[in-house]
Amino acid sequence: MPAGDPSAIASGAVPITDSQRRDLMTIVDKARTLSGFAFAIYVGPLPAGRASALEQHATLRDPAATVLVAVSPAERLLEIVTGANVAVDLDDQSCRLAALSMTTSFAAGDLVGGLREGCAMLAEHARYPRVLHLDEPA
Amino acid sequence: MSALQAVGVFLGLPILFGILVYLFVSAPSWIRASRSDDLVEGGPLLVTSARPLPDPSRLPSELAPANSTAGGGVSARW
Repeated sequence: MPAGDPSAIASGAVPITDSQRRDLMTIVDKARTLSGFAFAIYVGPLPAGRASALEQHATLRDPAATVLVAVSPAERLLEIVTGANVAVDLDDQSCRLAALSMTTSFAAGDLVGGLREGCAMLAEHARYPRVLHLDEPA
Repeated sequence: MSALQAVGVFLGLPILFGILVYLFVSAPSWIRASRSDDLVEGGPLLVTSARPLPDPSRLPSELAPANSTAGGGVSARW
């Protein structure tokens, strides 16, 4: 069953296969390498909308330096939550752009592809400026 | 060389070699197909990366506490 199958989404099931889950792990690892911030992807119900996403974000290991992308396929809802330290580099306008890219893919039924594109965009925008002599290899 | 040996050498060996090649070519796809690729059953899915990397461009005093609340973000629907 492909990700984004309407029947699976309507029943509230999480439309992610094992291989897609491995893809998601690669996506968050690449985003973390690119930006320096931790990334998390949540796919599941968000009954209280943004409040649920904030609650989920608060349970993460280092929420201040973590970006959470929460998707509820059943409710067709996407929430991006940035930690206090991330928000300095990653403003809401950049998040809005990434959200637009993601929702376009989600509407086409490509959940993992949308998350890949969106997380890459967020990581690009959140990338902290490189510091001479500190970030360069010796 | 008897007739039986000739059949074995000129027919049996090429067939055996063909079977081996077929097995070597097909085995990887059989292994991939046997791997489970079912839907993840049950509740929600949370995938997290490793801890954030240290940011040398910021003083520790500039950083918010690790357990502080969210700083921003957006909501969207499709």
